[in-house]
Amino acid sequence: MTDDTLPLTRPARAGTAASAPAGDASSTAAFLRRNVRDYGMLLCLIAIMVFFQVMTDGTLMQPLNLTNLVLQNSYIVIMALGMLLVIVAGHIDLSVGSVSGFVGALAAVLMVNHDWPVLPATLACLACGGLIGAAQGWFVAYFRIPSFIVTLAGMLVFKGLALALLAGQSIGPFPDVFQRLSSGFIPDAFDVEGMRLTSLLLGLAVAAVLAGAGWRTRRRQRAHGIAGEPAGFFAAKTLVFSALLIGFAWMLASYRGLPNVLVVMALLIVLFDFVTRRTTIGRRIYALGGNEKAARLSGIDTRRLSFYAFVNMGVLAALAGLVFAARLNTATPKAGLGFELDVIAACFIGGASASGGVGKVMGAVIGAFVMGVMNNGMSIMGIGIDYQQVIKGLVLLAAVFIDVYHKNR
Amino acid sequence: MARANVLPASGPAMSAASSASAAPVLELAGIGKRFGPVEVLRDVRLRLFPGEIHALMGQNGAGKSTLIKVLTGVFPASAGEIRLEGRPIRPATPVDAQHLGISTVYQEVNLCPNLSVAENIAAGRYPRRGWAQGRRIDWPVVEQRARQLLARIGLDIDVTRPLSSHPVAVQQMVAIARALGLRSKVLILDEPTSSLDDDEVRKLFEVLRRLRDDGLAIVFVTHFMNQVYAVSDRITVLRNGAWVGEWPVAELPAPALIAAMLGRELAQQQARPPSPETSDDAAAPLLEARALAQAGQLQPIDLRLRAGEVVGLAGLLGAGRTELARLLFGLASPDAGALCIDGREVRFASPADAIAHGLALCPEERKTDGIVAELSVRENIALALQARMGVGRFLPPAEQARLAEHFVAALGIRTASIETPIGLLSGGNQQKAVIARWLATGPRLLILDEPTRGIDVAAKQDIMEQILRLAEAGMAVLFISSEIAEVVRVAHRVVVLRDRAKVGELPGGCTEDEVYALIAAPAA
Amino acid sequence: MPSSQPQRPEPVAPMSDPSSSSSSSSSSPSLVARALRHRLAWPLVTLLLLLAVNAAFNPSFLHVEWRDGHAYGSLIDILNRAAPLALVSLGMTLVVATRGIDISVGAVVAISAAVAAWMIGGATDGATSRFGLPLALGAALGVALLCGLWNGVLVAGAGMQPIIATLILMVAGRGIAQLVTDGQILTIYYPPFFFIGGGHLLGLPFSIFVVAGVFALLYLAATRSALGLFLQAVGINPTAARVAGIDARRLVVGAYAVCGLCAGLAGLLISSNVKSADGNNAGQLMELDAILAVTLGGTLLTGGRFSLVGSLIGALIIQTLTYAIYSLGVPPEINLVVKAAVVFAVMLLQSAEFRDALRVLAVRPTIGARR
Repeated sequence: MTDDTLPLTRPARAGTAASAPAGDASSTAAFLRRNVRDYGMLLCLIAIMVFFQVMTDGTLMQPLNLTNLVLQNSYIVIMALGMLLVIVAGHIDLSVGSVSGFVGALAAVLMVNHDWPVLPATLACLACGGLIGAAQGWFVAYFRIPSFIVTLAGMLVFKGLALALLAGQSIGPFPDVFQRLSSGFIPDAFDVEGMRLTSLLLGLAVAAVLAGAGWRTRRRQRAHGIAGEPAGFFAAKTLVFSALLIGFAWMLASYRGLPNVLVVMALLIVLFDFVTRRTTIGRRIYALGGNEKAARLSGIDTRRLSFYAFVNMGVLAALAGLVFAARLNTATPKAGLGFELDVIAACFIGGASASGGVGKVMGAVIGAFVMGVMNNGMSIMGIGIDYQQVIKGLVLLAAVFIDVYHKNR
Repeated sequence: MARANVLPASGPAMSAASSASAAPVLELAGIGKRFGPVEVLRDVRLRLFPGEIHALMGQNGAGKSTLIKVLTGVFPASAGEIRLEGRPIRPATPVDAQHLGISTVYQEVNLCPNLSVAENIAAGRYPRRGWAQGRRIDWPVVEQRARQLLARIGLDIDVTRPLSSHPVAVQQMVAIARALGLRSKVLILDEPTSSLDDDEVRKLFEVLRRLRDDGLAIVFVTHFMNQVYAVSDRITVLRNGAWVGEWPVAELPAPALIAAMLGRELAQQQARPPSPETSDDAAAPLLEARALAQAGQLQPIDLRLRAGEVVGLAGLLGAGRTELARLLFGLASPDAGALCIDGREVRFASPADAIAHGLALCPEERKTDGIVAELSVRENIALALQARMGVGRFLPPAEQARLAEHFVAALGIRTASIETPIGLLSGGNQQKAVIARWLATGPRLLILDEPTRGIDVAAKQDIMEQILRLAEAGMAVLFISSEIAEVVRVAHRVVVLRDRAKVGELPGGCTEDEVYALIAAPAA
Repeated sequence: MPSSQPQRPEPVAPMSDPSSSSSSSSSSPSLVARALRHRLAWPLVTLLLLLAVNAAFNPSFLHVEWRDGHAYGSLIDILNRAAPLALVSLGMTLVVATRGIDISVGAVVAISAAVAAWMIGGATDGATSRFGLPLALGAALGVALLCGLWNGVLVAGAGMQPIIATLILMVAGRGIAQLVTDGQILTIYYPPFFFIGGGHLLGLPFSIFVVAGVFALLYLAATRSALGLFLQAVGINPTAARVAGIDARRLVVGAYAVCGLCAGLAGLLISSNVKSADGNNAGQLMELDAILAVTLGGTLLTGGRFSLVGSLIGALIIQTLTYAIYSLGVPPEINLVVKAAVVFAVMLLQSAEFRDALRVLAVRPTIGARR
């Protein structure tokens, strides 16, 4: 018997809000209040960006800086996608930093020392990441060893192996093609001065597609009698998002265009968002994290799902390692140090729950950008690394606190 | 007093509300289940017709949950046959049973609290759209279907919110809707009303009646007598793993039902009005509870205990006795009413508070609330006393040993040595050790919740005598037991609970039948 | 996260409890068999094996000589180097006993070292300390204690999972340490400070006495007061402990506070030994070493029965292992790999599923052989 008490006299059950799809002010407010957590994170990000924009006298939003922001934090976003699935499944992976460092080292050894062509080397590295994830996942899923022990040990192993592989030195530079993964920009078909038109057009196209998709979803919802968002809110939201997207694309286009890594990130984000929201295997991971017993009783192979989550994490950590190494153009023994904390923090800031089963891909991405903007903004302001660490810890604390508060309500 | 044979013959009479077809949708025959040498079910049968609500009743250990587990595929029966719509089935896993059309709604809703209502109802079978490779989940359809299913049971809620954001009553409805979505032919509800308040129970019953009228066959496992009579059409009673009988509800009045569940015939007699409390002592009682209540768990209850008095708390399973004990001991907080010790009102924030006031509780669930399995018998016995003394004043191991040896002898605890981890002792001996733990604190009021469960006859006798001796020495004892015979034998007064409320008090020396009559009497 | 909570193992055959160090009183065939069933048997055997391996490769390993009134030798080295880890492990043992974990100990080590170094100041003449030495030491330990209390409040008060709660301090702690040292490596020139980690007393390194002192204190607290009993009860069955009237919350906060304090003390030892405080690298990866030491010593991560002696032995095992690796000429990176492998092996053996799998493999060949 739980101690959850129900009030002795209960008010009549609250009806659904907004059964009529009219977009009057009160229903918009009610809608916002209910979805506060979802949109709250986004508003936070915007607020933080505005804050730093002011504090840095407008340096933050400069095209050059925005581009750097994207390039510097791409690896966090990539790994956050994988870490989110691991956390939703109820586990944690502390080894991602070391694994990405190790894979970066492996890439360097293969491409620089042994002259492997770029594509086979990249594929081999990704496969290696997958194998590492599989090994860790095996111990966690099938032998039920706590994930933090397995991955903490993994962190050690791969830190050591990275050091051994590099023999303590930094190896580089990488072939040109590989460098372009991280530091390259998409080619420009037009030759307009001061503006990479292709990038801008791409941004416009994406905004249009997203708006169209949102519109179609809304139409289908109405067709099935579901109220969805109030019309005014929907219109406003679509407008704002499109404006932000186009503005962002404009900023980037006026510098050097869309970075390659941004395209990679965008594709991955779309993929994982799709998997987590619209595929059975994605939903099963959420079921596993929410109530493992119920999931198992429903016939879900929970051990295999956990295993896959770790394999996926391994591959993404490997990709992040490649991106990072390509950006620095060398593989260093220090690569990967402390990455896991940024990634885990990004997931929690984005709304993932420590007990599993809760967390959205977009939330993790926003969380990663919050971390990135904070890193970037604080660096511009000249705040020391030490303060940055403290502040990051405090932000993580706040995020976890909100999660615990929600749970205990 | 006329003694009528109140156990009517059980027969194949069908409920008036059953559908045109006379064939049962589910038929269990000769079901037996053993775990090793222990036989838990023996030749059990059950017949379920479409369009009826069939209550499955029995006391603790009667085999209800085992039968349900066999039916839902948690484990296979050792003997017997299950027929669904005439065809024999052998569900090997819960998923199997679900596919066959048998769905279960558990007391602790076994869904995923983090997923939305719609998704829980979809139960992993998502409608899809998109091109061949697309296979995307079609959320609008998922949500629409969920709303349709919920409409069938008369519920209109926001299906996009996570399940956990709705109260337990609604979650149970969602579980029912999910069963409907799976096109179940049989719906089993296992103790669905334990966490619901009256309003919600009423709504649940409306839903059940609606589903029954639609032709669904429902098995309703419960121990609330009122509810059985309010909603079910037929009753099957199990006792000690055996089938006792099957009756239409109209043919089995409450005394007969109790007789069937407990295995004894009741004398047909008038229910004696509860006797007034004898207040020959002007002094304040040791403990007084005034309208003590906990929302959803316990209606307001008055209770008084004096030093040297043994008060028995009688009632059937689920009557609310343990809930009352937890309130008195500070394990739960009351939502209404007051608790007074020696005439002064107190509020217990934790068991430590209650212990400081001289209370002690020997809990019902010794495995989860009682023993600390890996610690030794000595340490377990000394634990509560040490906790009260605090961290500083330490009982050296020698002292603990002396204490433990004393109680091992006094209560007849069978253990290889006092250093044996308590988890290795038999259940009965563990129970005795826990009792010893509390006796060691020298309490003024000792609450014993089912202290004799799982203890052999001789030891039971020992404990009963101990209780009387303790009372003579001045301790007040609140004795909770499902064995009414014990309670009436040893108590000065018997407080009777039913369905989370107090229905009356009887003086000590009353007969068991009087207690049962009080329980069986229709609600005022 | 549900899966990161280890599964409870089945209760095992009776073994003696840590408060009585001699083996159990039941009648058994032989002294050797009885001795082997003691919970400290395997850790001790492992340690002796490692010492033997070291001695085999290095003839002068077991050689202890007396020079200038001090004892010198590899064994003394190991004891000295193991001291900080031993301290952290002792504190970690208490936390693990309550079913918790503290991965911030490395950061606390760095913070404590940084505070001490800052308070002493970098006066190169070595004659003065910015604040008095007692004050500096007190401040460092006080800050460490605060860190421990912080963790304890998050876990017991706010109900956070221990791994997450201590992760926060792990993230922020390094930053705090860097703040104190202003990003530099603070060098200390004040001789009285060096005594803590590098000094000698009665010919043996002072650090050994520090460890002995802390161990004695904790051991007495665990066995001469109800603390040991309460900690174990809370770790094994928190509900039953609460019903019995134990204040689990204060106990858990206290356990984390002690863990923080031990980490602080370890920080003092380390910075005193290397005569500097490095906010970034001090205590790096000490959390894993400590967890490993605790599990090697026989305390289970699921909480409950704990063994302070076992954790000490575990710390010695790790240090001896490190020493063996170095003296064998294995590159330092492989050290990490070997340690991780040992963690794995220990955790695997503690995993019930793995033991079942092994049992199946072990049974099958014998069935075949019997034919």
